[in-house]
Amino acid sequence: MNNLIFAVLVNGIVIIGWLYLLSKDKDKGIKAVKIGLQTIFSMLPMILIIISALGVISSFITPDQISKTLGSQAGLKGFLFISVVSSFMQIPGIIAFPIAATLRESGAAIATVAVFACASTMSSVITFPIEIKYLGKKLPIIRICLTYIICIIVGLLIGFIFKLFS
Amino acid sequence: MKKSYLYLLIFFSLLSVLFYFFPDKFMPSLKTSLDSFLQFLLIFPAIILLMGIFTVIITPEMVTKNFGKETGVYGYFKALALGSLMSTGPFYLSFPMAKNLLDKGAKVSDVMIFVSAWNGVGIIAEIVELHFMGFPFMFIRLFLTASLILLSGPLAEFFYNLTNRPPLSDI
Repeated sequence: MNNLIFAVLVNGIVIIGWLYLLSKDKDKGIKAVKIGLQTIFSMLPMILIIISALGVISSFITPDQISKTLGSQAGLKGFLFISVVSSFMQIPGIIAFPIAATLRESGAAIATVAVFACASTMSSVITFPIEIKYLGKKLPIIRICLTYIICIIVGLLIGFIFKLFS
Repeated sequence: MKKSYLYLLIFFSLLSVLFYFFPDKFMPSLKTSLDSFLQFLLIFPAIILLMGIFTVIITPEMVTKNFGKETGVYGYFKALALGSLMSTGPFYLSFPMAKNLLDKGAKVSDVMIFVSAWNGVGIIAEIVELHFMGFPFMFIRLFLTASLILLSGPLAEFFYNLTNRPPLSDI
């Protein structure tokens, strides 16, 4: 129910913003819709694959198994494992958060969910070859190391804060 | 784009083979997937329009023009905001953009913050996060991530310059 109210609110605000843009500059308003639709249709297959994969995986793995490997029972091991694996991946934020939500609902620890959300969107070792083509070797190495440290700190702090208030 | 639809087709064919062997898993899988897809559909209009609006309004030229005018802490915050707003583009586009900014004389710290903000705290991703994860999680993660990104800028510049110094024998 909360989600529904949020969705109506966000859609409403964005549509009002778009109408304002349309009234100011008709061409830009129409171009915005075209670009938005193009982007979403190019992302749609990936979104559908991830969502169906999540459904299938969660029907084969029980929440109990997840909480044993990635939940608070697993302790730091599950946390570090997810932090390393997700640093290698590059998942767009739009797709990373539905995965994070599924992880949380299936019993993963909140710190692990947070480190997944951070590392899978930010650090991306897998795009390193593209990155060094543009920025040289030094800056990407510094960036990926610092980002990994950021993700670990954010994950641990979120785990701590949620424990404090629960 | 057509290629990714081909992957989708291949993926669904593999799934049908899987469900042929495990027919009892089909309904629970479908239910979970449909649930998350519906969650997505609820905010689809906002995502589509925002992607378009930001791509039209926040152009690379505008970012380059506004980048690095201010120095110090204010400049860091500006780099963070610009990165977050530019984030409608795919991740790998942030690298040529960063190179362009560096070539134009932007500071390493600002560019580092810009790239991290593009990926870590993009405006549309934050809306999706709020929708899927709820306000407490989104707010705390955004606050922590943004603060650490701001700190990492000057740190990155420090490390970058550390190794740029000429060796002692040259002095």
